Amino acid sequence: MTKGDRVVIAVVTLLVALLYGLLWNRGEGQWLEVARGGEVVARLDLTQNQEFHVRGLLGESVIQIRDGNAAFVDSPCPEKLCVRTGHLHHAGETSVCLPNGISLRVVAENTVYDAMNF
Amino acid sequence: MATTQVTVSAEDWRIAQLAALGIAIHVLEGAFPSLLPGVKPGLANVITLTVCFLYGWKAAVWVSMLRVLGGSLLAGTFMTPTFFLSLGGAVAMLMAMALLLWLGRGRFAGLTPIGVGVLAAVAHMLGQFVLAWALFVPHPALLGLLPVLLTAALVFGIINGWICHYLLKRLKTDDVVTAL
Amino acid sequence: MMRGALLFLVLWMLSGCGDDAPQREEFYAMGTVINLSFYGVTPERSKQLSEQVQQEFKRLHAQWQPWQNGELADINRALAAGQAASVSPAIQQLIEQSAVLSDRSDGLFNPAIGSLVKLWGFHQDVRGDVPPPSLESIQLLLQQNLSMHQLHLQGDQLRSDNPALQLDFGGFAKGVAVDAAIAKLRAAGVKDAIVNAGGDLRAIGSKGKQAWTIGVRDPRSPGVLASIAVRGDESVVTSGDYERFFEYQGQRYHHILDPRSGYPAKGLTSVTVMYPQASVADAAATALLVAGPNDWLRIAKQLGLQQVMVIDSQGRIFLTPAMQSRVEFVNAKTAVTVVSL
Repeated sequence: MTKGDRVVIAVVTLLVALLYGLLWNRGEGQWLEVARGGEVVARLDLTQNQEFHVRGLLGESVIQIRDGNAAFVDSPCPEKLCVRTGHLHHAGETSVCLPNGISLRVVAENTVYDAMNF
Repeated sequence: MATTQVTVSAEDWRIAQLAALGIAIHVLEGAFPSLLPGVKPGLANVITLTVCFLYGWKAAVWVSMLRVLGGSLLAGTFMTPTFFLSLGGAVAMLMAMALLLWLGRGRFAGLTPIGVGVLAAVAHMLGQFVLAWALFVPHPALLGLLPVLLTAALVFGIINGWICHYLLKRLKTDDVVTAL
Repeated sequence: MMRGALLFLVLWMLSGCGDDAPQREEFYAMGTVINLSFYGVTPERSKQLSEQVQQEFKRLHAQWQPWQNGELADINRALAAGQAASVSPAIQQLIEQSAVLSDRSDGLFNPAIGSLVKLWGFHQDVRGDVPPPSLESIQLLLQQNLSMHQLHLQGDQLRSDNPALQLDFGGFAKGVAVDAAIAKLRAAGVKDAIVNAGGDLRAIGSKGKQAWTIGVRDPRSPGVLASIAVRGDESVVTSGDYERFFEYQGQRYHHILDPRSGYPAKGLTSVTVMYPQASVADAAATALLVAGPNDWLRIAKQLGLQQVMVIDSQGRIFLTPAMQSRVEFVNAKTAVTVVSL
């Protein structure tokens, strides 16, 4: 093996490692976008368990992320349809709280679905 | 009745024999189930690689194309997706070797068969992948497979390169076929 | 060194066949979230187009919302007072088109039951979990035989035989608005786009070389049931009993009312219809959901539909043959029944 061979192997290894990072890190449902009135106000990592509070038209909506699933857990709206929607996980899934003007959307770098029919 | 005289040179024989060897390996390899879809050692590439080192790039083109054509005819995959993938891979690999020879002004830029083998295997895999993407399934999920495929290409490239290196060391230029 | 760099570059180009993602926009209108996707436009242009579409939706909503202020609300007030109302060409068209669809669906899609919708409280953006209306009040309305046949359009004058008749185009208006938005985008030179009004969507063109991928929600669990690849010009509309509902004393009441019983439709949880126009697809999806497990196929035939998927309350999935070839289930083992039209 010459120096050239080693350089080739090193460069190819590096490129492959880079590709792993590039293509494997953005699997399904990586991020949760929280929007208020259509404007994205937060981008939360779906792999981190967390609770997020956001102020909407009526008051504070509470969004929880647990084990890769996101959901509204509390909302000031009267019907609480958003809380009943349940958990989001796959890219493209959305949950909307119309009265409070807050929407959640799971996004990945290469979202699988262009639009959701619900 | 007019007859056409076909002269068969020694080099034609060699190419035919090496191509036949490539076909045999190609078909044998196809008979074994693969561990991962799309991942194969590509041992037939050893022949292409060795020929390129011994007899030059043009001979490698002949051997490789004959192998793709003959192999697919024998395996019954001619003009099927498998054939086009195989062809795409072979073309990409030959182009990579041509590029290397051009960069190194005819001497592979100071690389041994191992370095060339790795680059050839990666090119082979990328060629197949690009073709598969363009022709069959342009699905984002396929991209996730790419790093795995390239890792396999890297590993088998080194192994194949090493086999080629070993062959070249052991062989006198003219009796590759008999020695194999 | 130069040559090494060149080699690197070639490998890099081979590995990263760059994909340009579509532009996405989102806004609220007609009581729902509107999502837009554009392909092959700059982010600035995307914002501009979104602004235009938003204007269109707001304009149509003001015109078509049945109860507050606006043209349809004025018409409803006139009808209730037993007077004739003058009607703009846009609403004339809405009335005529919906009357045809209502007829073909045996009256299961029925925009004349506005009073019933109002009685249930589904006309409000936020209804709250208050009790459902009494059986007597529902039956009183049913006795009126509310139907589009009781409306008479002469020139731009609309009359009704029945002061109880109130118009509420509901989801159909959303479908018509989606069609209008697509027409507007086309006029603006847009070739590749999706307009999605909370499940009423129409897609034109494609995402470059790839088709648009539409995800259909699973009515039983959060998540995606199936995907549909759409290319060219097509609408996908899903009506489901899970979209809007309220609960009272443990009982669930959804917003799609059966004009025959006066109560929320029973038997099917979701209906997905594919058709060129979103307006027709929406009216059809509503009608089939109301039709229920025994009648949806017959109504689909009458409406001239080819591509339909329904899911009943036991979670069983039924598909027409043409639909089966379009739908790709996320779980390949999903059991389905194919039924011929």
